[in-house]
Amino acid sequence: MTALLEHPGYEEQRLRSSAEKLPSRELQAGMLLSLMGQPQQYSYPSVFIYGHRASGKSHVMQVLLKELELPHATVSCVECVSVVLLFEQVLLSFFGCDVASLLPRSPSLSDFVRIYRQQCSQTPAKQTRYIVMEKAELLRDTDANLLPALLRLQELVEDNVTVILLSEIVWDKFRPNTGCFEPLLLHFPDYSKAELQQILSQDRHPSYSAEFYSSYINILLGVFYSVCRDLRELRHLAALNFSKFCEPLAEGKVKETDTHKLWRNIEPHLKKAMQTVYLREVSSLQWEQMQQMEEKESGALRGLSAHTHVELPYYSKFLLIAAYLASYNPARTDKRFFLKHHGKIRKTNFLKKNEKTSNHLLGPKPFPLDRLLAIFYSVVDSRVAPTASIFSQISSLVTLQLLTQVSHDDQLDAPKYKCAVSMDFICAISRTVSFDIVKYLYDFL
Amino acid sequence: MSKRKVTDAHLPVGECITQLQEILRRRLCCQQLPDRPDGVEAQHKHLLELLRRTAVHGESNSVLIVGPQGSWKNNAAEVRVERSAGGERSAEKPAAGLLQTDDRIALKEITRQLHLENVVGDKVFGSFAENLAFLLEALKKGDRSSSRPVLFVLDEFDLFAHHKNQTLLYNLFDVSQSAQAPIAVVGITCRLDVLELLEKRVKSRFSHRQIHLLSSPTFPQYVDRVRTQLSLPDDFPDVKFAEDWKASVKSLCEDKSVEDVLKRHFNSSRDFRSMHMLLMLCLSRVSVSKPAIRPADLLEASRLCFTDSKANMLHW
Repeated sequence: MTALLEHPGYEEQRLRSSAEKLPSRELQAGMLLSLMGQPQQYSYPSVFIYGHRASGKSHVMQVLLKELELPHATVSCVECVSVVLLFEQVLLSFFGCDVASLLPRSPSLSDFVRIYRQQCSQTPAKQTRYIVMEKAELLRDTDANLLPALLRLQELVEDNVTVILLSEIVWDKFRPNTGCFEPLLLHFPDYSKAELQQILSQDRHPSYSAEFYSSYINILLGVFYSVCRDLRELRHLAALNFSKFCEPLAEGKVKETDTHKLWRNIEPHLKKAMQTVYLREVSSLQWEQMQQMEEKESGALRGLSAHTHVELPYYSKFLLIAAYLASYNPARTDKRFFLKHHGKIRKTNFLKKNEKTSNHLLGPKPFPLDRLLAIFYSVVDSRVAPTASIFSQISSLVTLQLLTQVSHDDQLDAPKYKCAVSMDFICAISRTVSFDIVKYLYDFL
Repeated sequence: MSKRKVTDAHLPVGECITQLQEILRRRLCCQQLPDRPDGVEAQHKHLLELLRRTAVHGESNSVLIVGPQGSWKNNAAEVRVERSAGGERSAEKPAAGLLQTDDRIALKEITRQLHLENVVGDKVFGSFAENLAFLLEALKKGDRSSSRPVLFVLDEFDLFAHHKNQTLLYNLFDVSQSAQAPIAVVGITCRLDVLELLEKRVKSRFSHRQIHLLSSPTFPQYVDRVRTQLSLPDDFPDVKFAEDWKASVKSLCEDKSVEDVLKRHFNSSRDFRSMHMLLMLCLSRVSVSKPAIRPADLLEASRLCFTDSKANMLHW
């Protein structure tokens, strides 16, 4: 059911074909059309359209501008790393490549406005010209004068031109300090569940009936709507899981109308897919292969993130163990653990002062580099020369996020670190080097 | 005789609506303001006087027009320049601070507009130093009696004050203070503290004349402005349609709910730009099936203007 878009200035046929391509966006398209008015009339100098990802902003603009054949220039701000690309694109779309080549080597906004003004005094706009800028939030990072100038472009070049900005961020974050010309704000809301159902059912597979596909979409939306409303992600999920859904049908076990059996078949797989929405930890092909494999071994449900094996070099393991000991043992107990001959330690004093709270509950404490190296040399069996390779292994541990650097980057001679691994992890590692770490931990005395 | 011609002309409704839309859209989108300023006559007269003195008597002047965003600054400058063109014709030079972000660019623009001899077609030859020397030479050669007064209009004046060393401003004000060719420098800005931005030597050469366009209309004046902005000009071809439109606008402005909406807008901002945005949203709904603005339209437009965009972005 497509509501009609009506406007006297445009042909009905074209409006109807636009409306067909824009399901569930009739309200916004109608609003845009009424703002645009008839082609030869003026429109508001700048319009700001905002809405979440995949809410149809660029799609609506493109369909309207192409179907109604209005002069427009579409620029994606991601591509325009320098403003010259933006200027060239606009001049190219409106006036042709000869005019675009009139731009000097590194043009400023002043050159652009001058050339535009000259051209439009020769060829004035019979219809409103539109400049559509996608990902407009990147305009904030360019020169400070570009955004205010674009918002007032109609006034600066004295031509019938409208600038339309599309963004996912609200206008309040764009406004410059001393103010600027305020554009008209237009919001594109999320699609509702029924609208998503209608749109997703359009990509149906030709060899299956429409009701079958829409029942599949119904099941999919029922599972995923609460976590994900992004149209692109949902289309990806639908395409990914459809073959699994159709499996019993292909094997001849169930008929198309047997929704209960189909649901029972697909339910565990959708549950597993729920844990990896948006993540793309593996490629789609690998995902499908994993689906096939998991069926044969009915193992426990494990997320993909559990597959983290970290293989470290020999000395790195000892460095990590030393770091763990440095983090979770108080500094005064080092003497007892790591020196061959230590004196008596008076236990009574500090038992009363601190209530013997487990250091493991308090979290890792920062330690200086010297302490780490001292513990490391006493923990490693053989004699280790303090070469640069040992120190670079410490930096690699920081990059792997197994150690965290606590001191400021400026303090080069006494950096401080903290150990960021869990007890299970360090036990697993120390087992591989046959080192009994529990014996050296203060909490387990 | 002409009355008979006018009453005979009766255009179909579609045509009337198109013409209406065209006229009003041009007015609202291009930010055209009524000719007669209300509340700022004294300031306009002052500016006019200054410009006339430069044009006619050859006196060099500099003035700064300060006003919030959306007041009539640009318009004021343009109108006064037009009106003061009686007597000696002066060459004017609007330079927008937004466009000319650098003194070099600004100087090139000035040389281009004044059609000095180092401009061929569109290209300006020479480096910044050469251009500056040339311009100063050209201005220095004149004096009160023999050369034409030049008017410099600097839009977004505060942005010019951020250029390096403020060379352009220094030189312009220097020329305006010394006995060289008569120039008038009109700066337009929205910052009240713009004088703090100027360096000491630049500030001392400036005449410290400021014109503040801080008009603050009362609510009845605001409603009047809305009415004038929505009114059709007298030479509209279809008289009956114009009469109907005028009556509908009048009844709209007297409606109670509309008054509340306008009061809310009046309390948040009194300038023309936000009013134009509101009226533009209402105007976009006027069509053949609905040839007048209803109060419901205005309410809807107001709701769109005041909507909280962050709340809109929440997933419900």
